[in-house]
Amino acid sequence: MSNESAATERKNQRSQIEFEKQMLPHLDALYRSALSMTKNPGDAEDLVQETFVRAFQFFAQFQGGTNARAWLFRIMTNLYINSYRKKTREPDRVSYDEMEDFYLYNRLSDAQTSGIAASPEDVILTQVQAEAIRDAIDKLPDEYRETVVLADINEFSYQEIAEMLDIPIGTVRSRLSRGRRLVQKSLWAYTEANTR
Amino acid sequence: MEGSEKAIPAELEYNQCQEAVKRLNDYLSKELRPDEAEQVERHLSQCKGCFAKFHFEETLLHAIRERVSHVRAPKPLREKILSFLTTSE
Repeated sequence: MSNESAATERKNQRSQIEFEKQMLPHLDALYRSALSMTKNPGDAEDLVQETFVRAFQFFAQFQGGTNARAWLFRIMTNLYINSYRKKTREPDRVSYDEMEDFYLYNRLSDAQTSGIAASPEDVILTQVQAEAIRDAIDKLPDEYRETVVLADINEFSYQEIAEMLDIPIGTVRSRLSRGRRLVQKSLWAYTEANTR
Repeated sequence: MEGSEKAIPAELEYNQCQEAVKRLNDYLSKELRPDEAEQVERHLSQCKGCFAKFHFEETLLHAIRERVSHVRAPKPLREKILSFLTTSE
């Protein structure tokens, strides 16, 4: 092996090690979110794998010290929007008018008052299973689901989400507000069915 | 007005609840300006009704985050990514 190719190899190895160290810890969070976004384990795996391939290709452009998690999510969200999200958006059939603030709290409080349920917080802590939560998120229309996953599961800021999804901050805010209400509506339906 | 110990008139109390509720989502997302967050916190320390509701929303949000976070990437996916990294030039 020439000196030059040995040097290139060492350089490659260094960047591989660096990449693994900085990016691999985010694999689980990426997969979880990919699964919520695509709603399909096979697609989620492909999306995450593609994200890592793309990230590795562009690793030289990644500025050390900046937020690796946000960088990876940005790449993944971009791939998702361009290749995985349904091209024809489902029409917005949900009516939000009847959905007041504290939808779930109000209903659980009423249930508590009539003696058919524990306190609202106890219900959440003891009766609402992970499956019900995943199901509530899965049922959200695409754009609400993406925003809820990025904001509530991954705790990205409005600004970061606006950049990832290429939408104004006001849109992030309104999608999150509606998405959260819809999640509460599903959780109420689940609780109601399970407290009988 | 600020920091006044006087009892808050019912009308103002009602408005304060409304103002706090308007900020619920931004409060949960930690997106309020520090002075706004402080205002909401102050209201929550004075209003039992809002405190209970906001506390519930926070509990719910934490429960959602915590219960979804048990999902891990499948082992074969991790292996595929690692093998891609070690074979790519």
